[in-house]
Amino acid sequence: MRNRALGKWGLLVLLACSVVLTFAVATFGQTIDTDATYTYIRKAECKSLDPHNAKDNYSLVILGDIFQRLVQVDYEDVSVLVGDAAASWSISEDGLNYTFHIREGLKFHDGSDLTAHDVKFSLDRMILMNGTAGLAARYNSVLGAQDYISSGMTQADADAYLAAGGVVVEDDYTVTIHLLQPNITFMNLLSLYSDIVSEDYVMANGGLVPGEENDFISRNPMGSGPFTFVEWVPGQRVVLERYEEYWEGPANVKRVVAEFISEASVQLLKLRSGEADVIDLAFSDANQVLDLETGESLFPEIQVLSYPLLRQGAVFFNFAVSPYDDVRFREAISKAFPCDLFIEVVLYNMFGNRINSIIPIGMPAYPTDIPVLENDPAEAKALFEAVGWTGTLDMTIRSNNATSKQLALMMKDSIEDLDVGITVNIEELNSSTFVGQMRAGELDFWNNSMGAQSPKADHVVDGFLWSNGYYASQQSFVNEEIDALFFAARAEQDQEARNAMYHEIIALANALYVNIPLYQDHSLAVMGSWVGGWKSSPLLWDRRSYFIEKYEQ
Amino acid sequence: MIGFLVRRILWIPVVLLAVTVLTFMLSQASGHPEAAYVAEDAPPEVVEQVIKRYHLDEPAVTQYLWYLKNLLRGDWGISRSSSNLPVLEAIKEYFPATLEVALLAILIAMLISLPLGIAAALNRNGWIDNVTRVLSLAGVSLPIFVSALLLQYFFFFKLQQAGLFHFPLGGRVTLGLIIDHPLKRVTGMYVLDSLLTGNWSIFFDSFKHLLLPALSLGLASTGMLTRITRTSMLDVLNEDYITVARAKGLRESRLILTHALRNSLIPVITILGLRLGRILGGTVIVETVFFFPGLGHWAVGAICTSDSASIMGFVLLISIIRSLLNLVTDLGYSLLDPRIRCE
Repeated sequence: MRNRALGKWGLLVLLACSVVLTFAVATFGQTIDTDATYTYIRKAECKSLDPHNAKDNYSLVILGDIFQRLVQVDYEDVSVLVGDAAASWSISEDGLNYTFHIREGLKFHDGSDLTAHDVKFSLDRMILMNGTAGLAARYNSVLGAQDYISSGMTQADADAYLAAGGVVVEDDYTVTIHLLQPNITFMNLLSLYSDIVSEDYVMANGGLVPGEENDFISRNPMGSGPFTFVEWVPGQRVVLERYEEYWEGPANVKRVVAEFISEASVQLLKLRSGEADVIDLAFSDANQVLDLETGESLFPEIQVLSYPLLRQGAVFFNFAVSPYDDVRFREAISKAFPCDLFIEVVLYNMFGNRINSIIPIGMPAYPTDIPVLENDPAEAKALFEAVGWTGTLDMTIRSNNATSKQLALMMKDSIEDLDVGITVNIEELNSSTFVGQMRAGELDFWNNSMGAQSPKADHVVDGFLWSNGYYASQQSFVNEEIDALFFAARAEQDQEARNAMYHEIIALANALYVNIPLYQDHSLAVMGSWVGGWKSSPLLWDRRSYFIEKYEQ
Repeated sequence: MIGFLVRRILWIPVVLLAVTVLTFMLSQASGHPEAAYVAEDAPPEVVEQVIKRYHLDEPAVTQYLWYLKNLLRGDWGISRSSSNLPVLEAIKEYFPATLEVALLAILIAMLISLPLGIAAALNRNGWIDNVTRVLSLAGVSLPIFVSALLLQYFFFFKLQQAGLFHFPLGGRVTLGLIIDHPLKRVTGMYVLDSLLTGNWSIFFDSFKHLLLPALSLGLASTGMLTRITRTSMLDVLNEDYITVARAKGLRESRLILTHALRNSLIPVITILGLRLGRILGGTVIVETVFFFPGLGHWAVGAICTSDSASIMGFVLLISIIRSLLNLVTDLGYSLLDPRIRCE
């Protein structure tokens, strides 16, 4: 499982081998129990089961079992999209019109037909509801959507949006989405957030009120996916049951239970006793199941998988605050930090690999020939002395993230050991306070890890390097050259030419030390040896339960 | 008596108002309450809408008045840490579990401390008294989380290791069992509901899950209750009417059970009422150790995520319960002993 020295392809081959070998061992000669209950434990509870107002991973994994989307990611290659409710689709040459042909014969769990009207209703509902998950804004390229989102969201505003004709039903099984401007990530967006609800079901249960969330739907979801919703007991579990009429055929397990337990040792005991099939351990708890020297499982009945995610950890600065506005100071911090040591000691060379850019390995635009930001304490010291700033730096981290804490401690030691009159104060905030302060631009110096929404580099550059992007704006970072390249890449249809632009963007960003990209996160999957069919997706938004098999013991 | 009652009842809203002021002030300390409502990368428009919807951009006093107005209308806010349930709904969901633990804990405390206290009083300075004294001291000194972990260690780990019958590590019921034997909700208390609906599998299983959390909470009250029972019993046994009864040749067992015990229980009952309030507060720790999905578990989750609406709801609920318990205890005290007048 040691993969630090491996490149992009080595990493991917390793991933493929680890998954294939594990399941070859696990599945050989065993009989699938089709009456089994598949129980997986999550550290935290899902927030909402309304697919049009849920964005946290805990909810999305459950929603993926209940609902169908227009398209979905292919598990064999996440850069490929395959049809889900849509049998086929076409995109106009100007990239403004997306036409989807819906599979005939799809049925919701209540037996009603899924048609193009439900697809239109679902997309319109996501925009008109404009819930706190912020999904509507992701669809702002749909005709009329941005005007509606910026409006007071009255009924008149909703009528204006509908009149704009962003989503049009052509016939019972054809729907077209019209965009205001081309968006190369639009299909990826649909693979994440296009869950189809039944119009009749929603209208009979609270309906659709512009700007209002529907509490009933958020607790009583009904879709057309492989599992039907049974119950949600707050603080305890969500139970789903196999939908026998699912268009791809019924799932391998009869029932799915998502149980919510935060304590790692309790999760492990449940797994070892067979009460749970898959558990949700953090890297910091990996020593409970793995020999960290060999990477082998400590228990014969437990199998452990680690595979890279499209998720990266980095250090950020507030450009509006001195001394972070000085590129030499940022470079000094980068050079002071022993990233390889961090990956070896904290991530055990198993749960993370070094990256050279904020675009992670696995994305087609990953710039292979850009060197990593090297650790060089002597040069770091010289740079700090050249800047001449002394005092205390406040580094802020999330209190619930052990990796982040270790990184901060190592950062503190590496800077203070240089003896340049700088001390580092680590401030731990709970997650929502951290996010609130980050959003308000109140943080000076912080570390964070973030997952990509799709394998498209556009999402990463949009968030991290575009001046108005989510993270860049929190850093008060503005760079017109990067902005121009970002928009040029977004409009470029040729993949090679686009990748060249992203390469240029990363070279610029690294030279400016906009952030310090340190490591790519890996996922830790811990499950019983009686479980098979696990699909490892680097996007984390995977529909797991449909493929899961449980073997008779 | 009625005047006392009216005065006490009128004080309760004042106390609760003070509690809401304090909790509201603390909730303002985090600085960014809107962050608890929106997704991490929610666009600025959505954040703005949330700020407006919940009046978060208005002065603190105005926000407090909005909060109070909503509170009186029965809208205690949304519990963002618990699946976006309205806070009152969340309380309805979690409170029965906590009440179940608390009631069993108080029952356990009584069953242990009353006989021990009486035995210690009857054997004053004897070996039973000395042993009881040591046990009481240990009970008072031992933090709840330590006793909870010790109970888990012995009654789950050690018994399981020995291949013997063992108690569950935690939770409220065995997952597979409740799925196969769904429980109809009557009160929300699993043991009571399963009893009422004749769901025996769940009855035994949920009782098994309840026992260790209740025992660790109950043990925390046992030490003090035992000492108070002993002291009170000794006071009563030294009363003249006991000497007279004994001189008249009344049997010792009758003397203890009918004459001494009833009178010695007056202070014990007072303490019991107050302990129930403390036990409810103690569930925060016990429910966390035993991952028992009650109010305490919910409150810890809310604290970890800065879910101020849930935290304020929890504190307000506990304040209401404790205020009522204090009132009932005072009234019960005067009813049990007519010599005591409420003034």
